[in-house]
Amino acid sequence: MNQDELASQLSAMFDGELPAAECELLSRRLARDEQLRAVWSRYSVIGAVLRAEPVAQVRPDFARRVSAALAGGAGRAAVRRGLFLRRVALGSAVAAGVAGAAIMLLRSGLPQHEEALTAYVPSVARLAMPAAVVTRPQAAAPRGDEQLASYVVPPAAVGNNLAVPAVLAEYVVLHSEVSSPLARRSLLSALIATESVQPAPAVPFSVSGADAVPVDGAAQANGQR
Amino acid sequence: MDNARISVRATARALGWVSLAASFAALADDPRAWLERMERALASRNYQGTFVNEHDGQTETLRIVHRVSGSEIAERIASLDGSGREVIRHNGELTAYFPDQRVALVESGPKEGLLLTELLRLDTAGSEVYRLSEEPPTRVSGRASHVVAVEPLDDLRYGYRVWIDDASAMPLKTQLRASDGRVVEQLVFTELILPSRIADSALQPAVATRDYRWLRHTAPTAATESQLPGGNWEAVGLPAGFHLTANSTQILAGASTPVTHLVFSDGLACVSVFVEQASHLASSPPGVNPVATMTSVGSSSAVSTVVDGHKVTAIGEVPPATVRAIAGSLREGFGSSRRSASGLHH
Repeated sequence: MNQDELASQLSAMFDGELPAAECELLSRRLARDEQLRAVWSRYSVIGAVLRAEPVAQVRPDFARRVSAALAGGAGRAAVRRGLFLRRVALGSAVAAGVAGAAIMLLRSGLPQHEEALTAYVPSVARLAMPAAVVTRPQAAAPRGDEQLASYVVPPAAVGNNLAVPAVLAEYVVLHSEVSSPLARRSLLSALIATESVQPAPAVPFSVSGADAVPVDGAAQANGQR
Repeated sequence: MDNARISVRATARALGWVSLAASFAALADDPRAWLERMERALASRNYQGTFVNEHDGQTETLRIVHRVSGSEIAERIASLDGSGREVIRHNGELTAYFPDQRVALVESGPKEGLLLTELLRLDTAGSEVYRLSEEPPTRVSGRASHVVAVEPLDDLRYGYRVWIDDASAMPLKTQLRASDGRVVEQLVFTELILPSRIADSALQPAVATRDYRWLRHTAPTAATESQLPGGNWEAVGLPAGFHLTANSTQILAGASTPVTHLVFSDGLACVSVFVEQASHLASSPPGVNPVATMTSVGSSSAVSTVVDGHKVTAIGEVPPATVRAIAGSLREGFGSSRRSASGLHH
């Protein structure tokens, strides 16, 4: 996907017209693509100016940046320009932070009759991500298309492949099935979030030394099979 | 006379209703009742949202989609950070995608009921290891919430503090806490919605799985006697409150020999112990402590060691000392009867 297509997608996301799944993928890309983040910032600047929002710290080159941004935006996202400008003119809410905006826009693709429980809270998004190649089943999938975009993560570099060993991952999965629901969510979250779990150095194994823990005599009998 | 009898009867009935109402009122404020409502909400409602998991100074953002359709429950948890790992459970099958390793791990088995309908095992009535209480109500993300605390009475286990939404009974915030009050892990929803319908597409993986290596573990296998890891296993000197609640023997994905899965619980915390034959691994000589390798997976602790020529791996959402103690309590016994080789049984 070239920069123009990405910019077009970004514009669609800004307009709240990008399907939730694609928003998710694009937000990943945003987190690691400086150029794309610059485009996003440019859109934010444009939006702020057109809504006549006060700008706390106006840089000396502010006017030039806005002009350039407007010109650049028109060139890069011509397809979406009309929608974008209409949206801005209507004064739709724009999130300032990339992550917060991503969350807001993720929700924009959801049905309208849902019960919202919590306000949007900007989440913490990590910026260091491996390069992922975004692919789409169709270049211009219509809105509401059930087909999901997918992405491919390049093979990890040698030495960076120390994630949870498959057998431990399997044990975690099996254990999650016998755990309480809250513990299960925690376990599965850890399994997919922990990409650099490394075994700690081997330590002497003791249940009767300094690490001794109280034991329950009655439990011994229960534990016997 | 009749009037008096009627009056007495009416008064008694009125008192009965008052008593019943008082009971309901008491029940409504009972922290156990709130936990049960939360469990019902988790098991019966559609929900999707974003939550932040904080543990050990690390923060991860994850997305969850949970759909209940009749007796069928599907769930997808995807990391929004890193390479985008995700776990999808559907039709009794759990698939974990590891894009960074190009691996998909598939687990299947008749455990859907166990997973989805059980209540949180807060069997704290008369519990000698936990105390259940309710904290003053507060707000989370602008929502009125009840706060239920499950405190451990020793340092062998963790406790929970759960902020339960008054209106929906969904847990908006959950903390795993050590006995000294230290927060071990925190999960907070930053966005949570309860849609009436969730499309199939929301439960599809976002990763392209071409050239993935698939590891598939089928339903628990009835291993033959000759395949069993060997002997009977008994736990000698379990940490206080823990007892054996389940065991099974199964062949894991990519493995040729069966693994025994023992489950120990204190009513809330749960520790799994996996025993597999490892005759090539030497046990420590008598009198010498075996070497163990400790690992952590989120807030859960895992330990692997060798006992009587078998590799023993214990994992659970308890402090490291507890998994070490449980793994170390195993001994190969010499009982006369072999254990069941079928699926989990309680």
